[in-house]
Amino acid sequence: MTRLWQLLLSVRTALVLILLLTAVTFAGTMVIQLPANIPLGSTDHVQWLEKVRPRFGMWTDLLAMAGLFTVFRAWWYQLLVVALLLSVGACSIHRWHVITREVFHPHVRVAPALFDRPGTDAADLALDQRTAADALRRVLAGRGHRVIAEEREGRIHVYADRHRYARFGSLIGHVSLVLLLATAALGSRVGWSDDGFVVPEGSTRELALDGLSVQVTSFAAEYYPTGQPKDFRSDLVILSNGQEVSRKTIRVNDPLDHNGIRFYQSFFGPAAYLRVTDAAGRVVFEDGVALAWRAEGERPVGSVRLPEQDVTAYVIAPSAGGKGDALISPGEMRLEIYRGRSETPVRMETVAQGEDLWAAGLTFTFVREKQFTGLRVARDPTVPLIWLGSSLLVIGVTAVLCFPTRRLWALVRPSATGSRVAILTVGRRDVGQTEEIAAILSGLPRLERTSPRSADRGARAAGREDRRGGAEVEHLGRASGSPASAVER
Amino acid sequence: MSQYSLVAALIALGLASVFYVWQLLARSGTRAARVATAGGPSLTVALPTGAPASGAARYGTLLAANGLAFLTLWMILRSLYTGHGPFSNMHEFSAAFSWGILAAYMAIELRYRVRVLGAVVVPAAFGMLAYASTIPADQAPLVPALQNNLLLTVHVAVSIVAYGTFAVAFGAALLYLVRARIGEERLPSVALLDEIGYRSVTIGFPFMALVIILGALWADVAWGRYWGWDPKETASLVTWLIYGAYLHARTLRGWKGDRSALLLVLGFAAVLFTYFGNLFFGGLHSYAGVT
Ligand code: HEM
Repeated sequence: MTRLWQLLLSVRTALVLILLLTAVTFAGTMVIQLPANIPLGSTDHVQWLEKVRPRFGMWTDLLAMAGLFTVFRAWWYQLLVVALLLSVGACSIHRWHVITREVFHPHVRVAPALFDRPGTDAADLALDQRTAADALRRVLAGRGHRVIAEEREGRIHVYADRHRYARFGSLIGHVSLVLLLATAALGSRVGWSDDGFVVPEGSTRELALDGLSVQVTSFAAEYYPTGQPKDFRSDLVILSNGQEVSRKTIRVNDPLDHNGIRFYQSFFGPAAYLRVTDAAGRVVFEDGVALAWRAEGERPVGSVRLPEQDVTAYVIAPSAGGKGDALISPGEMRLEIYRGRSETPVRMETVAQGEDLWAAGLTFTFVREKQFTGLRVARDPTVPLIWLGSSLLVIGVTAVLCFPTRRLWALVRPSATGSRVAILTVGRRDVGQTEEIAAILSGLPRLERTSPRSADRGARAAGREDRRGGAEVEHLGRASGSPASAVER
Repeated sequence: MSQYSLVAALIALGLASVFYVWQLLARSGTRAARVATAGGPSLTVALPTGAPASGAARYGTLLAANGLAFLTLWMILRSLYTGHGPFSNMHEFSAAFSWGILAAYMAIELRYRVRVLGAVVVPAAFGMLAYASTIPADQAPLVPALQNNLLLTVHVAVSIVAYGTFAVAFGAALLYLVRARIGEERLPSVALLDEIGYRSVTIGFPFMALVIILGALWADVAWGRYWGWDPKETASLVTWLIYGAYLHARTLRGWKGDRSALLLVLGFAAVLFTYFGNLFFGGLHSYAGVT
């Protein structure tokens, strides 16, 4: 158990997991993925594989076996994600103590011997120890630091930090990753969606949710002169038990939201308005039929089932707007009427607008051409949590990266000139930090600078210095088991 | 009108690239002082003295600044002309990408006073702009899914910052990797290159997170799903993960030197892959609306 915990805490584990996940995610972008609406192992799945076979040739089966067409649904992908989340969670729990201690109860004292290392930044002041410590405190506070001082055995220890709350950025960022992925997992369970909710214009269709129906009063598609699509819009009315509860013209970037159920403009196509009357002249069907499927030759096709008569009618439109369709001319529809479960039609005929077709004791009238609109209808109550998690992620990451916490320890001791101030930091210093230390020391009412690198101050001001001293301090602190080891990052 | 400023920027960047590269190749004239510290590692401090090549670099800076100004002018004119941000087709994206690289580079040059980096990064900006100018500028009208002015503008503007800073990190990493080949005395210290790479990523990483999130927000508004494993969004996730790996490797595992520089190069390869992805994943950043 502790071994597993250690493994989860290890940054090496994190790195391995992140890099593995990167590699397989990359594979998922390179290899085309099975569309999400095709269930694994279904006949559609098999058909889809045949469709991509020309592209991948002999590799197709190998890729399929390796699961590379279904990377993002694979159990091993999910396992990797879960492992990363556990690792992030473990790290966050573990770091919580370290970070709260650093922020609220920092170590103020560092073993004095560490300040005697060659290369330590220091200045000799012509001030007594107390005054020097006060001057240091003022300079640090003036540069936005929190300063804590402690006197011990004739020496004054000073601790200072800046942007200390940014330390929590790391926690917030990591925890929000867990929140995001947990929310996504939850959303896929509690969410509901229908990607192909089709309504002919002028018709009303029932939604399998909350007893709602959707009426499309009109649909319009506009094109640029070049033929490129410009705008699609549907006028929707949402009905609950026949009563209008909501209404809106939706477009591609502008869905309708009714109590968290959202209706998106997704696709569109042709529809036929059909009337069916029986021998007595009674209307048994009168509505739009969406031709949302594809028949042979890419012809749009739709169907109507009349249960009372045990008859099914297929309506087929000319392919691609009628250009070059030998069977059906523009403006016409082909009707195929089937009885019961029979595979052979009792009648099939191409009819013009307004024309009738007699079959199975019924009259089928193709009243006029229309269009249907295809909606995506979705309800996912977890989406606001996704935006919350995302915001926290950005805030946390920005805090930890762009406002890095700076910490330093100083020791003020009596010396021959009056007092001596020496400053230590942990970790490798960057240019900004090097400049800051130089500025702090030069901000003190100084006698003489004893930094070994005072000679290159010009270069330092130009920001070109390479500084390694801090790293050694950390190293030493560890080796001697002094308090400095408790403050390493 | 906007075409003139694009051509002017192209010329300025082309010349700037020449000066920067010349400066790098002729840099042996710069005096490099090796300072041995007591007990510490030795430091290389390149003194910014008036060696002949630094004159060339100064022209480089001047020209690059001009290029940036012309590109900025182009963005303004183009926006006025089209009525939206210059982010709606590959021509505009690419010129804006070039702007991002240049802006990030100028910021780093100002901060660190290192001009050597320009020899890698400014030609990259030039290349991007040259690529942009090979694509017809006439605006293809926006398909419906892209007709979201606010989200389109913010999403692309943010990605330009991310990509620009990643390009600078790439430049620093590349110099880091080739330093053995061109001689260290021509380059700023290794630690400084490493720091420039890191600093760039500290800006780029949160911005890249924002790019992905804004993309998800947009997908949610347009299509009703915030994540769909579309190749473009997946590629941007891959990019982000690589930089995430870099941050952990460098900060926590102490990966310095070649290994972390390699991750930066890999990261930028992923940026380019994400950027040019549409070309080979066949328009699968499906600007749907019709199926
Ligand atoms: C995709 C997943 C992850 C992302 C995006 C991420 C992001 C980050 C970022 C941006 C930083 C700041 C780096 C810096 O200061 O330079 C960081 C630091 C850190 N990360 Fe992660 N991280 C991830 C996973 C993990 C995992 C799995 C672990 C646990 C082993 C972990 C442990 C840490 C620790 C200990 C730090 C040090 C900074 C601190 O706590 O103050 N991270 N992470």
